[in-house]
Amino acid sequence: MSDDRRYDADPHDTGYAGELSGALHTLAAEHQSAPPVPGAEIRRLAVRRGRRLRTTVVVAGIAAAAALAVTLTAGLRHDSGSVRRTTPATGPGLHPSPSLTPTSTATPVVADALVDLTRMTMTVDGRALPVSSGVPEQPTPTGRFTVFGKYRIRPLSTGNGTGGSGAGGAEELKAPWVIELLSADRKKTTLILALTYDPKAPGRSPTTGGWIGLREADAKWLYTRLDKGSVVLVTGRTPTVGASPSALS
Amino acid sequence: MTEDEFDAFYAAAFPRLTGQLYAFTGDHGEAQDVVQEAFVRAWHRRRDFLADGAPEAWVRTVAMRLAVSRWRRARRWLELVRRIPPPEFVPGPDLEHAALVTALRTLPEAQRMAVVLHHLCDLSVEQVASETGAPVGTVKARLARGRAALARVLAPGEGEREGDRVR
Repeated sequence: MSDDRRYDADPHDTGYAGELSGALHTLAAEHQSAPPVPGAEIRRLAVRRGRRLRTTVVVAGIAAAAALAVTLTAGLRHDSGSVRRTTPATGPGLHPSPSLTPTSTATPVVADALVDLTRMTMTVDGRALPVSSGVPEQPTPTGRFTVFGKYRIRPLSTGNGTGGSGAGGAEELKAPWVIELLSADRKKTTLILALTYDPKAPGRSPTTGGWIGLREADAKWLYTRLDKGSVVLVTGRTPTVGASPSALS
Repeated sequence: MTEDEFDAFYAAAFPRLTGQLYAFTGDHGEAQDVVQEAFVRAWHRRRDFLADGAPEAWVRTVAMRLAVSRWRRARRWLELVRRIPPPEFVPGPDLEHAALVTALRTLPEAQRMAVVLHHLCDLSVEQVASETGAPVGTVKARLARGRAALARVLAPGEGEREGDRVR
């Protein structure tokens, strides 16, 4: 039974490994539990979530949620950007869904943070943070991203995006509170970072080399809010207002 | 997958998955919660989930991730509020299993996940590596360390577990 669990790393304790497997299997078998609700209820929750843009529905609160759905449907619409984080996002390694393939009922917005490049804001937990995105020559990529790395401080020269042209000399820059993002199709990356070198840009003008810049306090706060696997949705277009006049793409 | 097929899959896989997630989280309610949530997501995104060809593994992966970040948040919150490590494990009737669960909870998360996926969910080292996004060598090291740590708690290689208190 333990044959296929052996590997060359430590041949001396495969006996123990087999025993551990046995103990774990027994443990798991003894703690199985029957489904507390029928499959139909699960499907109903899933559909409801799609329709209601994923507000927080805990199973225990189904009844309350149903009542809320009736009364608040309209009021919830603007809330879609500030999806509360009851449950974490599925991470990038999860045999990912490269394209957004929502159910047929609605287009769910399942994100922990929503970045609107047009309005230069990021909405997280109901807070709107001003952002500064990439200059038109190096626009911040859009789409669905997952957090795959976090750094309290990170040199920008090694990143993708070849330097903040708004700041110049990115080779020498280090940014604090850096969150690395990877797109759902794994082809694009970008960073969320504290724009310490240009604290007035967020909310006013696009200045970065394709990143999402925040004010330092906001970046620090966000750093505690997003974990690896969190989903960040980037929408909108880099505004041309305030950008360098030569590049109205 | 039709609704009936999903329901049947759910009914069959739910118990198995809660058992596995219990081994990972050491908390029964938590295991149920995350597995249920994973199934909700499975139906919600059933196209992805079917494209994968291994629906149960898909659900397990989602549930594990949910458990990881829930656990992280709970731990952070506890550290903030109480400045002590995670909640006490309440031992069940079975001392040996209580010891195993307690021992598992002392493992770093990455090791615990590797141990559970490999030794309980029967994934190969390579599969664990792809599941957790870590290199094969790292997974092997995590397994070795995890097992060594568990061996210190559970009487290793004795083979007489019946009625014998483990250390």
